[in-house]
Amino acid sequence: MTPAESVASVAEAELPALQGAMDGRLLDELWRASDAAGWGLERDDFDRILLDVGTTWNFGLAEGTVATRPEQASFFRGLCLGDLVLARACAAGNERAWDYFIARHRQPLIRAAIAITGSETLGRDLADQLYAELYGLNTREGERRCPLLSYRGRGSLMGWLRTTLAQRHVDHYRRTRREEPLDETDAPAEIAPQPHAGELSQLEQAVEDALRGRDAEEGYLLAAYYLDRQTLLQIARVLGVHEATVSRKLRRATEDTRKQVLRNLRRGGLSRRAAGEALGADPRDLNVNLKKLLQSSQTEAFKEQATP
Amino acid sequence: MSVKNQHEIHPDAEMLGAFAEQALGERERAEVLEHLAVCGRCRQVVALANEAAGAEVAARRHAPARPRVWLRSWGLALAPLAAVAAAAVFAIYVHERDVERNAEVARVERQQASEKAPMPSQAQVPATPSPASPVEQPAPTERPGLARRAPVAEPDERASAPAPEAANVPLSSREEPAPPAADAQGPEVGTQGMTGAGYAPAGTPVDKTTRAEIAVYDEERKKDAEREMEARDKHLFTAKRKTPADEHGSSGGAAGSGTAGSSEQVVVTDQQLQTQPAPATSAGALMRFRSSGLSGMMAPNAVHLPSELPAVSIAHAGEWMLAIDNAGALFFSEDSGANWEPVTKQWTGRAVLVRRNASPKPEEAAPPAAKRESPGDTSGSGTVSESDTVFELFNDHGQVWMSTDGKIWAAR
Repeated sequence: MTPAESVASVAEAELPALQGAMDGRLLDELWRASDAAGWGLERDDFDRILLDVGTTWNFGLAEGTVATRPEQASFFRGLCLGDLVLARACAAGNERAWDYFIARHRQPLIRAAIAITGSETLGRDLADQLYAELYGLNTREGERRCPLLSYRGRGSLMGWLRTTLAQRHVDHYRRTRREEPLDETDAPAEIAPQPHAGELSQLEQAVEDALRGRDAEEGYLLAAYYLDRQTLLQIARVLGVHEATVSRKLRRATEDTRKQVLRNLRRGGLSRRAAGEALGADPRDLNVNLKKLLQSSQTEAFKEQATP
Repeated sequence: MSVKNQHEIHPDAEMLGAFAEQALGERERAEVLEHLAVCGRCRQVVALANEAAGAEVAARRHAPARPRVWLRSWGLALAPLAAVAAAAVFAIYVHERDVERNAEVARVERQQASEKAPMPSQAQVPATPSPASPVEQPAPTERPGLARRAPVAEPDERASAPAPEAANVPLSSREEPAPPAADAQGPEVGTQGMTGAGYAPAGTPVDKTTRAEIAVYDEERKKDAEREMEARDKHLFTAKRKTPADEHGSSGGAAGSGTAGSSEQVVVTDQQLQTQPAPATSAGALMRFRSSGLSGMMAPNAVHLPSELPAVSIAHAGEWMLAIDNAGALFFSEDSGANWEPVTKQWTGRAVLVRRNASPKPEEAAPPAAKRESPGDTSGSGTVSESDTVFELFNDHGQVWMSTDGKIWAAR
């Protein structure tokens, strides 16, 4: 279901019920705060948009949880309502909204695309392509489709635009890399048979178990730092923490993973000394694909997303 | 398609963007982070989007700085504020200048008024020769420098001037009374008989007026004196030479003082005590004489002494006249200067000043010092006869000799 479809469905089937469940004064307050009337939106359209956003994200709560009115109010007040109504007005074809959008976001969009691609030519091409899509040149089933309809006010509109640009660039890059010859891919080296194959297999199993048992943040830190080769500063900016915090957490994650591998080895029957010696083995002797291990389950999801 | 299903694939751009902007709740953030831990593609997307945001921030930082809106709006208001401030400063400056100018004018007017005030009383002197007349009152204190140069109205002017009654009073109310000059020495001794606005006895407290004001005043008085002297050179001296007794006898209580050894001598008229400046023997002397600012004096060059030398000091009482030439010789005339006879030197040093002091009563004349201490007792009558006259002669050391007939002198 696309966002547009969800809006339509909400408008037709659930709107009366949801309107009754929502606070009318809150909607009035949001209507005035968003200045939606200035962009030519009707009050019913505005209410419908809010209901769509709320139901899509379940007001920021876990699935199956019924949001109370304070929770709804908190969720709606956390939205970027100004950007939301601007995006919907642009999607609806409001010329004044488009003029404002261009004046405000056109140049930042180009600069973001150049920064993402690292090339002015590629950046401008990427920005122009997205701009054409935003303007609704693409159609699906005879209808003009505007990507701005998928923006629901979580975060700023410019942040959404930057992320969209980055998505398109990464997807394009991955598609082109997949078309490259296999000899240029970084395939793991063939591991030669080792004299202590039993211990090595135990080590491989222990590493896999240790990496699978990590929490999300440690996994992200390890993957971003060791696989993606991101700097501590880049990781810190994504997580919104200080660079030193990332360094400390990364060191702790590495140490915990090492200890967990040792525990797994001893659990497998090795002594403490033997486990230490096994951990000191040459990594090149291990048949462990960390990249595959760290992104095991999500690789399939990416393939699914990459081929619409 | 539910949100959960979307997350199982990939978070959409909005979720990733909100994650990069820290705009998600804890639950949603944890979900996205869990996905990012295992999804290199989304990590890359987030990293690139974050990098683009940083580049945008850097671009804005390096963009030409514009003044902030509030600064621009205040900048518009600064111009009139600056103009108002400048106008205020200018107004204050003009006001202060006007105040100073007005104060200066008031001082000059006050000084002029103090100089003109004795005139009516002096004009009354001939009619009321009583010692208790206003002109015999203790002279009000004035600045010594100004007093010496203070103009004295011409006798004829004083005689014709009306006598406003108020003019008899204001001086004492405006100015401090002069302390008695009991210890006056030299030329200052002669102050006992000299009353009038133009005289300030020795020991008078210095006025608080600044030197700058004195200079301004002096300039004005110099110009006045020059004008007066120019007119007098043409007319007045000749007339006085013909009838000096009439004119000086009717004069009031103008006062003056002279400095021993100086060519600038003073004519005192209010008590028939006249000390006349020496005739101008040169242009410089004349200028000094003129610049002294004294008026109502008898011109020294109006007499012709047997020594053929110019007179430096002249005094007369009735038809008696005494004159000292610039060699220090004293000459006596009984016929208003028509005939002169030399007076035997009976004093030490060089005579530089002769003047007449009204003869006190015999019992009062004995201690001159006592008379000095009570200047009101000195007679200043303009109609004093020769028999009532006491002449005083000063040498160049400030010593005083006295004589009642102009011929016999005794040291005081």
